Amino acid sequence: MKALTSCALFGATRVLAGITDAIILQHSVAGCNYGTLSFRYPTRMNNIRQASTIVYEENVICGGAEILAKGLHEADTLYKNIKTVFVISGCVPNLIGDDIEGIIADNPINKKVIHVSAPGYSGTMEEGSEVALVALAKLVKEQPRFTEPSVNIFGIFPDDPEALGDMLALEDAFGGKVAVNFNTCFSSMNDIEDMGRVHLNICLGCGEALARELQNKFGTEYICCDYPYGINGMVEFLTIVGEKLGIGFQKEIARLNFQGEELARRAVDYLENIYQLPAMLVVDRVRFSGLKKFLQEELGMYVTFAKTTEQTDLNELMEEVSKNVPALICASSFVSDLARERQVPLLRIAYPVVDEVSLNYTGYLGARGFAHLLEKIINASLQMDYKKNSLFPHIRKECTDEY
Amino acid sequence: MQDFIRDNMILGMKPLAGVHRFSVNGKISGNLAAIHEIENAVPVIVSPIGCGFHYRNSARSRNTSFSELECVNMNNEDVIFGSEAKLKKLLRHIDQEQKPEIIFVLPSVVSDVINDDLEGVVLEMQKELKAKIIPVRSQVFSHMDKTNATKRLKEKAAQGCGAPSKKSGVDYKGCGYVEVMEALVDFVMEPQEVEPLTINVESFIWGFGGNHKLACMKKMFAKLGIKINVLLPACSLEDIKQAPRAALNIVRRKNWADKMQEKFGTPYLHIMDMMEWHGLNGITEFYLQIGKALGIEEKVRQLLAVERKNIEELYEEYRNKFASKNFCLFTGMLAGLPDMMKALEMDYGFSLKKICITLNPGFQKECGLDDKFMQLLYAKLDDAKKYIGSQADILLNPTGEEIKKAVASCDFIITGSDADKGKYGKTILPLYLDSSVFDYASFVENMKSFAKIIDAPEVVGEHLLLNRLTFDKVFFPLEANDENTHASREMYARMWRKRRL
Repeated sequence: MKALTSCALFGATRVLAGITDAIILQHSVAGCNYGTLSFRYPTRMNNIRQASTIVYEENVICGGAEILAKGLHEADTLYKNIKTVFVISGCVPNLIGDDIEGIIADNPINKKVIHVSAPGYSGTMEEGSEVALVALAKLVKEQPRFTEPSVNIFGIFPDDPEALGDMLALEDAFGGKVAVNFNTCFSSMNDIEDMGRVHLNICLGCGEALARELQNKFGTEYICCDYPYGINGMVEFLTIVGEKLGIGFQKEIARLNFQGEELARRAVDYLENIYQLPAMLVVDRVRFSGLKKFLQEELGMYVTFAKTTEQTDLNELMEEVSKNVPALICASSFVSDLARERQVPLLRIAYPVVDEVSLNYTGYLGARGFAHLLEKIINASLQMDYKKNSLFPHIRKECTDEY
Repeated sequence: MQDFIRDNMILGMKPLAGVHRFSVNGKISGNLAAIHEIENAVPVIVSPIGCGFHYRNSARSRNTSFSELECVNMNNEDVIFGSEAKLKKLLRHIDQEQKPEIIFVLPSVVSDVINDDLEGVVLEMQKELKAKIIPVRSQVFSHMDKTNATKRLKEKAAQGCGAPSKKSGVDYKGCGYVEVMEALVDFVMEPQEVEPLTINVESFIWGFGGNHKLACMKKMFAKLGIKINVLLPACSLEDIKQAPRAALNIVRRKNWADKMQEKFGTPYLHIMDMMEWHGLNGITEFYLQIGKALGIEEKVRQLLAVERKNIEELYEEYRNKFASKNFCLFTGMLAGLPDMMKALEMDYGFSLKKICITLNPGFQKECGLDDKFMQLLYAKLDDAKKYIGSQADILLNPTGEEIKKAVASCDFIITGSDADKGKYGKTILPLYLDSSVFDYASFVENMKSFAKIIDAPEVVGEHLLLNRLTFDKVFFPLEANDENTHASREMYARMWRKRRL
């Protein structure tokens, strides 16, 4: 298979990388650390809180206890302002049977240490994310609810170039009426401890297992929502959150609708061109239903092929594209060769986006985010090298060859 | 130079060096660097899905999105029962659907630990499939031993300044790339009748502008009547089979060349460190060694004399220009500095007045060097000065005030990418303009790039956006106050780089 999604270790790393006063210590081989870090490069390479014990061949024979103990000790010494170490164990330590919990217990340090077992062969990236999120449940403290309406949001990860923009757009959409406590993009250990104090947990295509656990433990309601792309996507999102929290977002919704009208006016010539054209969609579980709905309902595109990255691979997508060329592909950077070869505009929106940066914190959510998303789609089409030298290249070639 | 500039801008934008501060790519990345160059080849990783996913963004190929990459997708069951059945099914599918000429079967840490018999599967499947299937062996576990850098440092220190290059003992076993090259020798190359005046050139790590360098080499070879048999591994299956036809290999990695010499008798010229082949003298030595190996030394001398005559006037003009100004060199290197001094002063003719070295305080410890060895490195700087006839003042870890004074006494600064040197109000000659090239005309082109800046000096000044940040003095572009990133860098050093010292 030509994989378009990753393994459990990647999923766990993505979730835990957003905790700003914790570090990730991967107990795995060199490539896992490099791979997970390299996909974070387009977002930012500062405040790196990730290291590896770098399991090597001698550890396969003698076990990884020595290097894990050393890793814990070094992390304790070097990361001065960090409170927690998340040890994510990968394929090899799990295969050779390292007693990771035992090693951690035998090597106490001045930081809290939490083990997340995530060998790559045990599941997909999405499953690894769920495992890491559930591991946070035991850190949540029993405390009184916040007095102001508040939520935890699961599903926006820090290695998505648009993540911070999306988080800011969500907070902006709440209009100061709802506070966001924990989110998977940018949170602290305190936010984790306070997870039980919120009024609602919001699962954007991930985190349902954790939300269920928090419901059982603290009675906190949860909702599973689409990633709120588009004007209507955000309106629906605000409506559901408002109903659950007993808050009216009429003013915010009215503003969104006004902005939507303005955007439609500015982009009308392009929007009418996109309307009814076929699109294909291969994105991660988090974005899947929200993006599909956005393309169908707000842009009016026919979504002719839609699968999550867990459900398909690059071979299947290639086959689909060769059978029915779409007008737009929404996928990750890993589809760029295919899009270029088939001359189809590509919206890089699924993990990983590694050939595009975003420095403006606009994101793809809210009215500004929608405009940004639309710019990307339109520009991908406008800037494509397509029939540049002739509008009839193939027929011209055929004629030339014939004579 | 255009190829070089484009490579800098486009390939340099990719996150290889940035991530290397904290980690090292796994060896599959090295496997793919070789396979990516081979025509109509499909790599199959026998691994869980994560390796098949993230290696698609192959670091050693400058993060080229590698569409061809296939993965067995090992799960819990495969870890217990082995992945042979899945691998066979996938090989059949690839052979039928994609019809590649070559399929490479790459082991992962998981297939290695559970001891999947990949070579057995390949032997069995080869009878059935059209594509040539090549099993790549793991020479070491997950990546090469990082003590190579220290070994090389010690070799360099033992080598006299300007002394001819010796065969290096540095071993790149486990870098991934070498394993694929050895698999080509073992499983693809076939005995051939050696054709005189024919060479193979290894198309790997020639640096930015590599294409241009090889193109210039090719032109020079053509003038000498030397034919490039194969660019290895940037060729087809058929070409690889015929590689032993060459009378000489020019290589960047020697393990596979040793193997090829042993199996087919092909001698090789090892370009371990391009700085040793720098400048007109380096280029001369390069072609003379090739001429000697192919028995056409006199012909090489004659051609080089003609080539030299063509550039002599311009070469001397630039040298005179560079000698008429004073330059202040900034560097973080100690072991590599003699080569750099030689390149700048002897090859280009720059008059270095000051050399400011800001050394990584952890350098000695990270490389596992004792005080005696450090003294040897310092002494080598004196040797280099004598050898070169340099008049430069060397300032080790100078203070801010000392740097200001040093810069004030010079006309130009020569430095790498550390941005804060712009604040001294002097024009900067970027070190990236220097690269090892393999013909005289290209070297003069390098000189021309420096000369253009000297003729039309521009000063960056104080408004450089980068200078709004305070960077670490040693590890540019790490911010000075980014404690966590510094800690992550140090974790990497302690967990890996210093592990076997």
